[in-house]
Formats: sequence, C-alpha cells, structure tokens
Amino acid sequence: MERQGRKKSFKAQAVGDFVEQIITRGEVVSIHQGAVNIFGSRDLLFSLVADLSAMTALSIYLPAMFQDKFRGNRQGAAKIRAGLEVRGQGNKLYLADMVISLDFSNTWKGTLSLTDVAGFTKQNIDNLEETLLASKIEEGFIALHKSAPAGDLFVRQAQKILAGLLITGKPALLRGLSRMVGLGIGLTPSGDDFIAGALLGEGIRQLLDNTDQQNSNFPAIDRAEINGVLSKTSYGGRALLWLALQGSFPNYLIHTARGLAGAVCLDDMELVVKTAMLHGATSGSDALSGLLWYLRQAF
Amino acid sequence: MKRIIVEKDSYYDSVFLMLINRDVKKIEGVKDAVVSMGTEMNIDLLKEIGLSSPEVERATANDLIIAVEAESEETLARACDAANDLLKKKKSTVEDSGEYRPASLETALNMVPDANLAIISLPGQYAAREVRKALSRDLHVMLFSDNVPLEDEIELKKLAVEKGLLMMGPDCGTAIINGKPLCFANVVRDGDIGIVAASGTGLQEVFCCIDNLGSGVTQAIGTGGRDLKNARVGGMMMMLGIEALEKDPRTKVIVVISKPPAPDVADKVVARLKETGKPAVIHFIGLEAKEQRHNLYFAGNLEEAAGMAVSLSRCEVYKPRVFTLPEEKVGEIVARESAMISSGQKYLRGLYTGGTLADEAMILFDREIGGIYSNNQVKPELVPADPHVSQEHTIVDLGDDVFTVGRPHPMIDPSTREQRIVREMEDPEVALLLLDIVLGYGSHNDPAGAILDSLKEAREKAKQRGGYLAVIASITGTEGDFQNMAEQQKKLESIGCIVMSSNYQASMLSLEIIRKVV
Repeated sequence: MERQGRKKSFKAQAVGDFVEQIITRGEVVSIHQGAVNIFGSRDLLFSLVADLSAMTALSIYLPAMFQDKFRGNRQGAAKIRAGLEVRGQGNKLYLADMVISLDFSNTWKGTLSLTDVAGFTKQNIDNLEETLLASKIEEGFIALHKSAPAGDLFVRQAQKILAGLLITGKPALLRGLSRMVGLGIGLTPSGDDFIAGALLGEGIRQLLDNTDQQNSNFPAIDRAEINGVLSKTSYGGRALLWLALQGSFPNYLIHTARGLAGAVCLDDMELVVKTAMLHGATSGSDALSGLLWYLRQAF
Repeated sequence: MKRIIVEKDSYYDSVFLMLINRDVKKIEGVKDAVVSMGTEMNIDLLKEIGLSSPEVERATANDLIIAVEAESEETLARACDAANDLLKKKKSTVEDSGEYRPASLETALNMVPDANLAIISLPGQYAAREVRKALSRDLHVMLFSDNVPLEDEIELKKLAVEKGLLMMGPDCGTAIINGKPLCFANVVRDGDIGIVAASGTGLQEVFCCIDNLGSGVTQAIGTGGRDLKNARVGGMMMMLGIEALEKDPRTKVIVVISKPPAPDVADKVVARLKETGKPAVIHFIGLEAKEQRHNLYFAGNLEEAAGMAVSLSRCEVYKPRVFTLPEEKVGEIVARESAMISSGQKYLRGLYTGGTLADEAMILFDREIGGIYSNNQVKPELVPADPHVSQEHTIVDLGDDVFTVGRPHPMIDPSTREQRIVREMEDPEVALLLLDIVLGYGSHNDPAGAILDSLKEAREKAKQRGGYLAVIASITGTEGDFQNMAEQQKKLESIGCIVMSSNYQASMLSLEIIRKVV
C-alpha cells in the first residue's frame, strides 16, 4: 500500500481579487513556464504564477512553488499534471501533494487609478502609433494599423467588424465589438486581446473624464453585449475579457497604461511597447492595437 | 487540396502556435496554413474559405485547429506530419523539461536566493535602472549592454564601490568568476593568476594563452572599456578589481590589461599595483613595454603578458621570444609564402571579429610599416571613408557597431566575415589575409568551418589570376572549449592556412611576409 506523504505547504504572496469566488473546485488544464492554469468554477480559469508580471485578478502569486518545481525536486511540488483535481476549502487550496495558503496574502486588483494615467496627453497616442508601426511583428491584429492590404483572413474579418461598428441607444453605446470575441490566432485569440486593449483605453478615458482632451461624443463600449458571448471564446480569452469587463487588467497592461502616460519621448514609448510585446506571441501587440484603436477614436 | 487537424483541449502557449504556423507555411508547396483555437468565430471563417470538416464543426473554443492548403496530396501529408511532429515534440518538452526562465530580477532571486551576481543585457538607455536594482540587492553586476550614458556609469560605479560590489561594464562581455565563464569566455584551468581587464577579446587572449601554457586563473574580471580610458570614471572598477585580487589568498600574480588609459588613471593603477606587493604584469595595449620596477612587470603584447604571468607564478625567469616555432621554420614559411605571391600583390587585409585583437595587429603594423587603414584607427586620415571597403593595408574590426546594426556580432554569426572575404578577393592587389578565430561560450559553434568555403574561393580566385593568397590565422581558445580547438586548427590547415599560437605571432608572421613582398 502506498504511504501517504506529508503535504507540502506554500504560502501565496499575493492573491487576485476574484480568485476566492472561483476556487471551490477545479482541474489543472495546462502547465507552462511559470504558470499553472486551473479551470475553476463559473467557467473561468485561474492561474498559479511564478512572476508578478504575469499576475491578473484571477491569479495566485506563488514563486516558492515554482522554485521547488523547477529546481528539479520532482518528489515535491512537481507532481502537478493536467487533469489533477484542485479543491478549495476556506482560505486553502489543495492540489496534488500541496496545500496552498491564501491567508494574509496581499490582494491584487489590477485596476487603474488616476495617478497611473495622470500624465497622459494626445502626443502619447501619436508616439504609441509611431512605435507600434515600427515594430517588426507581422502576425495578429497589429496589421489593422498598417497600410498594407491584409493577407490574413482573421485581420480581414476584423477590418470588416471595425468598419461595421454601430452607435445605438441612449445613452449612446458602441455595438458590434463583440463580434471580435474569439477571432484570430493564439491561445487567447487576437480579437480578445484587442477588446481588452480597447477596454483599457476606455478605462484611461474614464479616469481622465475631468480633462478636456477626449472626444466627448464617443460612445461607451457595450459591455453587456461582450459579456453575453464570452462562452464563445477559449478559457484564456474568457478570463481576460471577464476581468477587463470588471475593469481589471493583467499586470502587464496596467504597466502599459502607466508607461503610456509616463512616456515623455519615443525612446520611453519604445520601452513600453517592447515590454508589452513580450507578452505571448501576439497578445501584447494585439492588446496595444486595441488600445491604440480606442484612443484614436476617443481622444 | 485541404486538410484539417483538430487537437482536443489543447493549451499550447501562443508563441508555440505561431511557430507551428510559420513552420508549416514554410514547407514548399504549402499555399496557406491557419493555426487557431476552435472558437465559433474562427470556425465560421474557416467554413467561409472552404476549410471545414465534421471534426471542425464539433470543435470547441478550447480545441486547436490546424488547417493546411497545399498543391498536392504529398505536400499536404508532409505538412500535417510536420505539424503533428511539432505538437508531439512540444508535449514531451512540456512534460520533461524542468527549465524555467524568470522574467524579472525578483523572480530570479526567489528561484536562486543565494545568487550573488547578475548579468544584465538590455538596450543601454534602460540598463542603469536594472543595475541599480541589482546593486541594491547586494549583487555583483556584469553589464553586457553598451551605449550606457557616461553619467550612469559613473553613478553606478560609485554606488558599487560604496557597497564593495563589482560593476563590470558597461560593454563587458567577458569574465571568469570563481571558475565560471560568463558570456564570451573560455574553459580555462583553475590557477593562481588573477586578471583585471578593460578589454574583452584582450582578456580572452590572455587567459587562453595562460591555459595553453599549462597554468590557470583565479578570477578574470572585466571593467568595461571606459573604466580607465575616461578620467571621470577614473578606473573605479579596475581599482576595486585589483583590491579583490590583492585580498584573494589564491591569487599569486595579478595581470592588468587595458587599451591606453587616461594618463592620471594609468599612474593611479600602477601605484595601486605596487602597493599590493604581489607580482603584477601590466599591458597597456599600444604602449611600449617599460623596464621592470619593484614588483611591476610591463608586457609588450597580450601573449607576453600571459607568458610573464605564468613565469612569475612558477617563480621562473621569463624568456622573451616572438615565435614559438624555431626561427628556421619561421624563415621557411616566410620564404615559401612570399615566393608564391605575385608581383602585383602587396597588401594586407586583417579581418577581425575581436576588437582588441584587431587593435593589437593594427598598432603593430602601424608602428612597423605605417599607413594602416582601420575603423579602429585613432588617426582620422587612416579611417576608411566607407568601412565596408578596404584600401591598401587595412585591418577591420568587424565587431564594430557599423557592421553589427541589425545583425549579430561576427563572433556569433560568421556571415559578415564570409562576405567580406569574398569581397576582398575582388582586389587583385591583396596578398595576405590575417584572421582571428575566437572560440568559447557565446561564439559560433564552428567559426573556422564557417569561413572555410569563402577562404577556398578566395584562394582559388587569386590562383586563377596567377597569384597566391596567404592566409594567416590565430585561434583564441583552449583545449576545453566546446568547438574543439584541434579540429578548428585542422580545418584551417586543410586549405593551406597557417595557424599561429597567438594573435601577436600571427601578426608578426604576416608582417614578415608583407615586408618581403612590398
């Protein structure tokens, strides 16, 4: 008979604001460098992450577990594999031979504040556009901003969707962006990243509401419409959009917004853009494309 | 013809999905390929372009769809096999790999809490912030980045000195710390010689010569080129490096290497070395060697610096010499090579990947025959108007920024030098090619093999014109380097290239030959 070993204990250093709502039951769906994705309740993924830069309000920052796993101690916490059951009880999460304590951890919200974006000017939008267009990335929705005709069928579709957006209702709502949900390449489809970028742009605009920089006639994105089609995208895309609709963004996008507002020259902007683009294959550039698209309309 | 693969519940990272897409598209005969998740929106689009199947209809948003369109059934099968192979390979890598690359200093320190050194390589203007972070966490720093503003360098070095930490760089690409080769470095024996150097390939040449003489090093500390050259930096890291070696009981002999320092800084370094009381060898590249004073020995070239240090560590008398080969043998080589060179051929072309090695050769030739064109020249009239075009005697540092914008350093990617070799051969007046082959970590895995074809072609062209092209090279490397030094030498010799045991010897031999033909 196999002997039951002692459970290894880990303490989370930070816990996403929405994690507790979805951790009652779950299943490990994928293991990546520095991240373990778990399918939780409410059809949403949450993640254990090794690095703060990968943090979202649906993540648990747990560097010690990765240190153990990736240092080759395969007897310990390295038993994680896809399909494993995850159980949440009180402020504890049970996974394989581990117990993860969420007690007294910092809460990570992923929301923007006015201080983050206070220095934002229209010049920042021009600099963002110039820097983004200079990038050598060809895949994904960055092509929406380039003048060359799009060869990619997903980009062509996105162009059609953007051209057909409608302003309806009272107060005015921007409708049709939901047709981009689940569109394009990537584990998180490009369309989802694009919408998240656009929602980030809207977040910046709302914070700067008291200034006279924006186009006050530009309508609000119809969030209910997007929320209604979240089941049509991948787990990764769904989690990203669900959070973005609550006004919460991945850490890298929060840094992007801060960097965008704080960049005083093209060199600064280059750093902001390059750092964002490190995220995924095209996720960073797709989100920047959505952000630029929104800012161009609204300011 | 079209075919579709559906992988149920797939969670490959998006970088990998993009790579599959690129690899499949690259296969000859593949017209188009789409790699995407099976979201409703994507499935609708695939249907619109005729890429659908019952399996695709059943796919969910968490399934991976690979759709390929190709010219023939055979290509289609090849493309699908390639995609499947990549997927399988990725699965096994994910399952077996324990590798994890942290994305921030903070995470790296969580993984390796006892780390005491950080290597930083970022665009120069952004590097200072990371260096500051590392120093504040009490980490020594090796700063690989160049183009770091001078003010930042001064401030960071002051902070490092205050904390008693090394801040090697900026533009420091070579070091050996506690036996660990860092960045561009070689596998060198452990020993009792400590080196501080403000020169990358100069440092490599010295520790490789030490190893080839059967001795070894305790530490090889880089300082970055400006440390001694700029009076405001004032040799801060050189002084700290000397202090570290002074305090290290394992270090019996100290070696200091630098391009010509600012005069005040040079005096300060010499005075500090004297104060250590340990035997110290000094080589300021380009400056004449001086007589021995107290515990200080002045070398005339990089190889000599190594030789002196080895003799001192063994308590032997250093016997100066130019060539390792017997004099008669050198005479034979010079006579043979120069006899084959035709009367119209008179110029030397030095094509270097190592900046300091190029300097060493250029300074020697400039002193002996004068008029050497080079992108490293301090005499403006001898800097070629177009660095890509040689004139008369030319020695080129191919690692210079003008050659590396948008492409890797020639020590990593030999194609820059390959192309230049072919171009040099269009000039019928070229008599001799002088080359460096730098081995070790970071360098190309077969630097000699990579230029062999272009060297053969160049020699063939000279022959067709009724002339001869002499090729002289040196290898900066050790027996322990993964490129296999003996094999590298054999490859060069297989096409008639003469391989000398140091850059100085290769330069001296070239000088002898050029003197004969001019």
